[in-house]
Amino acid sequence: MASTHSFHSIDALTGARLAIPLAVSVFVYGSVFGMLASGKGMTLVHATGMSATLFAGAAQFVVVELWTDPLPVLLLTVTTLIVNVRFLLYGATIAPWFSDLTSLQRYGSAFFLVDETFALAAGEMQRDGDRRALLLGSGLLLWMGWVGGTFAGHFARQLVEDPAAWGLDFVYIAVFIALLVGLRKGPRDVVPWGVAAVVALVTERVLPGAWYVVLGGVAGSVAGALRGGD
Amino acid sequence: MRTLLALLGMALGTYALRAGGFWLIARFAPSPFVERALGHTPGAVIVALVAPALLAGGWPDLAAAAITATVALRTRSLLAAIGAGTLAVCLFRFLLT
Repeated sequence: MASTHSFHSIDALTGARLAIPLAVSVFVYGSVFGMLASGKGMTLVHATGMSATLFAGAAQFVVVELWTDPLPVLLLTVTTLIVNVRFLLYGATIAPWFSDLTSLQRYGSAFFLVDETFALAAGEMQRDGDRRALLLGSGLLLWMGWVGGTFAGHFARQLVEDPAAWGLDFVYIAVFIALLVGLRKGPRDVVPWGVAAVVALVTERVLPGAWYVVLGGVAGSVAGALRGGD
Repeated sequence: MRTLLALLGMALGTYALRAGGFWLIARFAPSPFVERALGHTPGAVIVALVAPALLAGGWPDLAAAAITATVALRTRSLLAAIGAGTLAVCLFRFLLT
């Protein structure tokens, strides 16, 4: 069992080492975000600032698509929260394992909860391990990759004159399709994903802005829950 | 000003979700219905975002989307899938338009 307040820097280092291959792909992925953000007219400070404070890949690719003038502040915030609501589940899952740590250790580590670091931490928890600083260490390295990638992508974008000719406008669709393949749970995705697609396609024609993302996402989630059987 | 407001709203809201899991679990247990709905949320949101964009892109985009999904399934690599899909869309747009 975990000893009281064990949270060691050596475990954080191990977490960072385990996350090296992930950080490389996060860097490349971050530079795609940086390119798209720059293409949408986001400044270097805004794009890297967003990566540093939001640190959420899927949400940021959604946000960059909705980044228009004038900025739809409410829509951006609500959409981000809906895409990131899974973090609530991640925190709740590992919370009992963190219960005897200090508030600073707990709420500091919480900032670094993303899909990859959660998978790493939850794996350690399931093996009855005690290396709770793995989350912080791996998270810090991925954060550096993500912010550094965004920075690099901003400058890479200046070298490309016509992004559509290089298929760069398709990159975000490809990102989401690849993410969906990773998220899929099998045949029980058919109902929630089907409902999400239909509701999105219909509301996109009826409602202004990009509220179709929110409505489609909520309708799909409810449809999946109503169907039951998880 | 609006930009700062948007950045702050997104960052603070997202951190509240990350920290909220730790805070909430000690106080409330979500109903099984809510838990199931949350489990479907990431996929449903992404489908809702992509569906209209894919349809608007027409055949070249749909064909490239199929290639992206196939490579993602085979290789389990996000980057390989994104690279293959982007290459495919260049090719299909050249051939089909």
